[in-house]
Amino acid sequence: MVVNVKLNIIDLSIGYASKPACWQAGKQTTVVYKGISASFTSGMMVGIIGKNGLGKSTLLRTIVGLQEKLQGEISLDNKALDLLSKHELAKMIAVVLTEKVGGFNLTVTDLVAMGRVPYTNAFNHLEEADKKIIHDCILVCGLNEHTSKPVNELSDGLFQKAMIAKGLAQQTPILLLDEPTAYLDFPSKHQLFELLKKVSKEENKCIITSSHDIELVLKYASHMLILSEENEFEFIETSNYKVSELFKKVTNGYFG
Amino acid sequence: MAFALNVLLAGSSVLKFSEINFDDYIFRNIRLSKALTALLCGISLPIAGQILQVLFRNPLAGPYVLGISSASSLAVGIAIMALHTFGVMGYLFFSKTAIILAAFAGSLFCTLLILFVAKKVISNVFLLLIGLMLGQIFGALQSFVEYFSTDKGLREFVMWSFGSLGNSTYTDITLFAGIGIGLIIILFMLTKPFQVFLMGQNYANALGVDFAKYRIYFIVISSLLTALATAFCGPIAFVGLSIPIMTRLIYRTSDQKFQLTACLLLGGITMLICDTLCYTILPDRVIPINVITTLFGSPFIIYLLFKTRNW
Repeated sequence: MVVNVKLNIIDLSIGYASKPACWQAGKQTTVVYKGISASFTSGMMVGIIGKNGLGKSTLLRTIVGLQEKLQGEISLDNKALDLLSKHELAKMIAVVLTEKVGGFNLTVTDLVAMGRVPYTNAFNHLEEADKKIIHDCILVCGLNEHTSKPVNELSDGLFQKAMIAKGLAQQTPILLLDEPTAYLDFPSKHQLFELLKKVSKEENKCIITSSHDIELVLKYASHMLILSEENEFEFIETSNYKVSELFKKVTNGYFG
Repeated sequence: MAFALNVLLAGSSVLKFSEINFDDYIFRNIRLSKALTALLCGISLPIAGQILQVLFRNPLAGPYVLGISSASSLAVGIAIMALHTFGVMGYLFFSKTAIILAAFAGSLFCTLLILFVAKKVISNVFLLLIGLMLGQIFGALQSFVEYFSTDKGLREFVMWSFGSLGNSTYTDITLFAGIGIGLIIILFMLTKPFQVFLMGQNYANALGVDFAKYRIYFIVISSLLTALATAFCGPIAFVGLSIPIMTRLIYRTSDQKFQLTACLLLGGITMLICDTLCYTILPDRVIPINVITTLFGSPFIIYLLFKTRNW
């Protein structure tokens, strides 16, 4: 993928606009985090770090349009994201969430094929080109031995890889991941981040992933978005800092 | 086809194939119409069930989960009791039309209620629970109506609730076939969003499929199919729940185009077989269709479940 994209976030407030109950009028808003500004471009590998409940997932869900933003602006190549339809957005941003999918005989190939949905015709017919993309994505993620396995029988590590393969098959310039390493063992975590790093370099993708594995983010990410309490956030390039400085920043975010 | 013929041939006196005469009154107005009704019923209910099982991503969902069958039963219950109270039950044509209309109105009322809720509620689990609760409410009201009804009315209602494929005239069948097949064709045009619904709400939205919009479409299609079948055949239990489970166990594919087609075919064939069994198991006695579908369907599903362990 050669296209260069720029995802800009300006003074973004995220949270929930929840109605108290369906019979009561008016909206209540719960602000989770406010004043986030950052600029993501192709080839970046961004790690989002922050305590539980500070809004890492909310931020990702807001960017991909699963949740309304409260304030501020998100733009893609200087075009506001709100102006894109769901369908157009699905060709720009792919997402791997924490939720499980599977059952109904859904195999790994079927799951990865879901990534082609934004491109297929009204009857979801897979062309040869689509099949090749699906095959390639399965290979890249090292799933070639598991293609016909039902998704709900996969181990956590393989499941994450399958979801990432689905995200890659979507062929979007931006890939968001919500805590992809959550249930993985130590080697699998490294494998997964290695894979993400490789993809971001080779396919010039912008990869934004939230994670609690600070050491992984420090090792693999090119940029870090640190959410800390008191609404102090930082968006930094990791190569500009020494590891010890970074570690201090990050741990301040946790213990400060 | 063979099964279709079986239904046509079996009856109080077994016909030979060569004896079939399309002008024969009994053949045309009883056996053929019954076979067609069985076929339509067997087509529409499994499709309705498959839609709800995918929508809620739960193999326990069936046409009853949103309270639609219960609403139908309640409406029919009220209609029958009212007709008996006013003493007009004797007029066969009038009462039959009233029952069909009541069943359809009941289902439609419940569907509208569910759609109203679906517009307010984002979460699918919430919707499922509300549907189940609505079903309970209709069930309780039905018991209430039954308790205060006359003996004759109660008997009539119980007979209706056994389900029957033999009550349809050709006008009914045309209506059933027209609306039912129309709805199924619309569903086949929507197989792409339907396939994506396997991924659940969030992923469907992230893949560019408007979950909230298509959820409404699918609920309407499924509810109308259930409403049709219940109106013309009574509450036919089980096929709506079991056939989709069977097709998934037998044809292990997640391709919904395939699964829906399999539901159509297997459902139609199963209903024809069951209907044949109703007439052939006991000499000179007709067994209610619901007894047969459940009695033969359940063990078959248990067998399939054991055969394919890792479901």
